[in-house]
Amino acid sequence: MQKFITVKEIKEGMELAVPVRNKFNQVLLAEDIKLEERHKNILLFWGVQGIYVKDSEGKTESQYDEAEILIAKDELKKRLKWNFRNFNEEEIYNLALSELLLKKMK
Amino acid sequence: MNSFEIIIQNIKNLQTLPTIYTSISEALENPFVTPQKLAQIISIDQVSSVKILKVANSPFYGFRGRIDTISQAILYLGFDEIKSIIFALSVVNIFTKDKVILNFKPRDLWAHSIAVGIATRLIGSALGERELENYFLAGIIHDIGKLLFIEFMPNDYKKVLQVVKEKNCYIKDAEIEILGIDHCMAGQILAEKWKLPLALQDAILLHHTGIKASQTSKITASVHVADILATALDLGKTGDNIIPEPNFKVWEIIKLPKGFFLSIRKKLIDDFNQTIRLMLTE
Repeated sequence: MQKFITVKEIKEGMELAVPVRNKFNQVLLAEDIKLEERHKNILLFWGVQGIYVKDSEGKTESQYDEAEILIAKDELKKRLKWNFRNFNEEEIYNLALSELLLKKMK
Repeated sequence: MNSFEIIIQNIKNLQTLPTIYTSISEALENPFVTPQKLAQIISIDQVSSVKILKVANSPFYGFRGRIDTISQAILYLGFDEIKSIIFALSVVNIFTKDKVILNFKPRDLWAHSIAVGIATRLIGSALGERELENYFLAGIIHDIGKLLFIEFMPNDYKKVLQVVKEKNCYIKDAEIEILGIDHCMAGQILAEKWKLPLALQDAILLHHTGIKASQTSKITASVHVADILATALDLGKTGDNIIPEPNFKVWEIIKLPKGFFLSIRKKLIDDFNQTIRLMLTE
């Protein structure tokens, strides 16, 4: 898993998941490098606003039971009438579903 | 006159962008303009000055509470970012925010547009794009055509919203059925009148398709995806109740890694809550 963070959110010890490249595609910071405070200024100096770091937290467990999810999926069909075809679309679908489940909880 | 002609006439008669924005645009055409000169222009407009300082000190930019003067704001954020903030604030103020048509409020539409602006910017940042202020602006103004309809044709737009309710269809399709013109076309005509950059005009015209036949535009594709994401997260209201289907071709233009949308969710919602407070309160 990897997550996107802004340069200001960098914390000591985070690991870079995707290399930072310049517009000529040259690697400025390599993958797996452990980030330090000083990297914030360096990245900002290069004009980099955000980076991908490895996400050690992983996925969170589902707080909902199967029946609740099925009902929410059925309800979502009224608003979202397409099937996801790649991981990007699957994430958007899952976010819409979580939003609906969160609203139901409230 | 039919609906199409009425809206074109109203766009022609619509006021130009506020003086502060045009003065700054003109000043920035001079490559030797100084931050002091720009600060002088902005400071004439007290209301804009206060708003700029509020926005500059918001968590959105991460300089919380450290920017005290307009000159500092220009130095920290840069000319283009300041111009983009002024443009966004000016556009929000041109249109009424309190006209309600069948429970559809311009304020909620602005909230959606702000969410799209923030999401578009996050996508642009992930793509390593430099002109992020244009990404934000493209998102902010993508639905501006709907505001034109609400402002100038409230009765006809009421019929549009009724059709949406009855058929559970896209608002764009109902606009074509009732008005003969959709918000993408109307918005693009306004953007052309305001002489906005072509990238922004395209983003307004093509945000539902996400692509342009002749060339690929990362901004347009990003607005297309950000629009869908903001709707999926229920940030603001669009006038219909449908989460649009992404155009599959946009994923060839904007290649986002696995986990991207899940990772930006919290930041998007936090920035959204901050920004609507700043931009939508008097």
